[in-house]
Amino acid sequence: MIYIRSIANRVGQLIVVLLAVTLAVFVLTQVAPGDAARLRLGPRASEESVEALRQELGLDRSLPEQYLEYLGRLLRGDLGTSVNGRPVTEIIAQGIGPTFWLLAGTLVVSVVSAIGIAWVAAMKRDGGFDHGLRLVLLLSLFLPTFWVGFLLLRFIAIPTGWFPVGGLGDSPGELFASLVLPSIAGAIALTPILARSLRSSLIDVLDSEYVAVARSLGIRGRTLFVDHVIRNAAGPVVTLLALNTAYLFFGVVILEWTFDIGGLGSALITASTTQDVYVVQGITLLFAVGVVVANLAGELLSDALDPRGAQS
Amino acid sequence: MKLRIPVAAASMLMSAALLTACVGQSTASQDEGTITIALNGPIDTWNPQEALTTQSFAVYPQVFASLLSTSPDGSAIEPGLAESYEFDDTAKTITFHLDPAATFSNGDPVTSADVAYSEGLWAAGELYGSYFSSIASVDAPDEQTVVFTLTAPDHALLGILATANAAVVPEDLGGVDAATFWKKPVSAGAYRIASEDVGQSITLERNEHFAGDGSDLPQIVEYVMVADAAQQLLQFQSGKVDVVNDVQLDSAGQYDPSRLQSTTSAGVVVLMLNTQVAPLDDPQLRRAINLAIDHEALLAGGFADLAVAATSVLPQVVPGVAACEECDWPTTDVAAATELVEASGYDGQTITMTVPSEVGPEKLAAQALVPMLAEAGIDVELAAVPESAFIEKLENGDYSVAPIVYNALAPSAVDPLGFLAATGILFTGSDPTAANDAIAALTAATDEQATQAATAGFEAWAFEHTPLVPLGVPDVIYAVSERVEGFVPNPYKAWYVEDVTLTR
Repeated sequence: MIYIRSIANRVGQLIVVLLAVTLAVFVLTQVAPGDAARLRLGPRASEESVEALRQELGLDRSLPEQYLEYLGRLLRGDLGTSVNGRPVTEIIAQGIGPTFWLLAGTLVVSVVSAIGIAWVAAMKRDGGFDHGLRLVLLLSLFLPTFWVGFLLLRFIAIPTGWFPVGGLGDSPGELFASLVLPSIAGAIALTPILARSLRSSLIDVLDSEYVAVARSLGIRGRTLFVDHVIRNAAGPVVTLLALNTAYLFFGVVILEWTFDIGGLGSALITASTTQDVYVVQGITLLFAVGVVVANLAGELLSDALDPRGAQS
Repeated sequence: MKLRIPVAAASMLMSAALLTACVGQSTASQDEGTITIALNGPIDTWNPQEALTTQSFAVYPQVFASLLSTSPDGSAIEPGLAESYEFDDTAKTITFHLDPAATFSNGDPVTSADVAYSEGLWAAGELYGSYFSSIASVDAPDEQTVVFTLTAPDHALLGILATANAAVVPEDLGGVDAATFWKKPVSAGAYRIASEDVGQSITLERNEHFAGDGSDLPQIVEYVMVADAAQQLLQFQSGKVDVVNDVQLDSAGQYDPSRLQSTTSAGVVVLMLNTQVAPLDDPQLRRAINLAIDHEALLAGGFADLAVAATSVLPQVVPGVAACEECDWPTTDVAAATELVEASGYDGQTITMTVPSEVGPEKLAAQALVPMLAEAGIDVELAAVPESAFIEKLENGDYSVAPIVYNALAPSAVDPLGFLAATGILFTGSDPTAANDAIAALTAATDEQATQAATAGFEAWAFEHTPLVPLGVPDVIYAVSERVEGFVPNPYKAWYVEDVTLTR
């Protein structure tokens, strides 16, 4: 009951946060430089046409009026129309698939490699291997994603021909092939953060009394690892992962641009350069919602993984 | 137990690599009949009357057909849907004879009624309608003959009729509403629209009704929008892309030189000098700026030797554009510039040069200009702003000096002059009368000499008042794979795929 009430409280907080997010997104897109109507029609259009479009887009109204209208449209599920006449919902529907696959690929590679690296480092703690690994992880934090992506394309994709240099494949096999390098590039930024945290947690858990007891009871191998070690060590890492969701979304924008993947990130960049206000608002809002929801999910999952929380 | 997880992970990665190796081999291969062309960005619309981007005008020649067309290098006007045309003695009537084989991609023949209907769309276009203002009426005496009656002789019109702005579409848009039609328009080009992933790619397939020789045509034309220059390079190197339509100056050096083809573009980079704000309201200082620029060094440094000297503020590749004899734009004379600076009363204040932050030829050129102007005592600092804010600043006159590249969209001097007139001589706050006078003289010109005199007259005015300083005419650079034969670089970045063939 207490647990359910806790969830209800968090959902209530979520609504307040989302409202704040809509205001922030609205204000940010309004203060960006440039006249959206002029940009849409170009320098050859007459001032009369530009003014007419300003009125059509509601840009001639006061900011509070525009914000209220924006909220009203959001409640009706209307995110507006792009400068090229397409509904923003249609653009999001088109781009969300590639972005989802890229996020999923980056997450899978990051988590799997972080578990592997952290496990080895924890088992060989304070040895040469552990120190070397930590140094490599630290250095990899400074590698720009777009640069890593370019190197992977230049020195792996092109010479081997195994991976496409741009876009996502259509068939499952092609899709998998096209996700490998972007996922690795994305994971290079995220894995060190997760691996360092997980290594510390693993060391704490491995040194704990209950693991010693489990071992003394003859529990070994997969059972020990999954049921007693990882479950207890994962809590802080899940929280850390949730906190890094915003970073992950930002990374996906860069990855999509670098690997020429037509997802939400690419659409966001294109819309930003063309002052396509409604598209920028729509995608930014979706990303913000994603971050907020991921944080909530992370908290709930972390609670669920915590044996003390689960018992309460 | 210790090694089980790393081994499992390694096995998984190995399996993934092997799987992708198998899959990757198939994705890297090219379909023999498909030509893939990379554009820098998406097209903005399928309606040529509303289009602004050069990407749109790069795609249109494949889908739309006009009465006339241009030669592959863009220098000559050739037959299109009209197999011939003639002027009457007063040059106020043009009679076009349609190719009897001309057929729309929906199988309907192209008739004079279609042309007459289309002309109504051209003239009504807000952006380009003025190009057709000399047309008083269009008559269709029979199905294959169209007669344009002009208010005055207008030889510049022929160049416009060779562009997608004068695309011929079925009468009444084939009976569908405009919104539906312009999502997937029908015309008589060599290709028709098969599918479009908006903002990402466009797939065109052969128009089996195409009147031209389609025997060697690539079956499919795939346009992919690749904005990032590094991605363009990688996709070209990997063989995924056959042609990069507009290689950026600063990335051209990374391509295999044997695969690059270039020509002087139909654009020009100019320095805009705001004549409405001090100290640039003094023509002596504006003149000094031109004299202080080492134009030769600018081409080498600012344009990486991928440009030619500008002899006009108009795109000099456009037919009819002529430099005036006394306009020595490329002359450098720092001593004279210094004298003019002193005479102008310029007090040494820092002048801000506003530059779009996105990479482009004008940005590189701007960086090279600062030390040149300093040598003549003109203190200039660069301020990079996003493209969106850049245009707004220009329109509001909120700048002092700014470089810009502008392109002619059609092989007619009317196009760039119309743009200059509409923008107060490129946002410099100048009186557009000279440009309007030049347009009037151009449309009235009956021969090449008169046409050149019209543009030279404008050029003389521009040189005297110096609201603009031409910096260079950048090359338009194409990366073309060895699969593509017969490619001729086009200055307008718009070429017909039907002019090339694919080798196996």
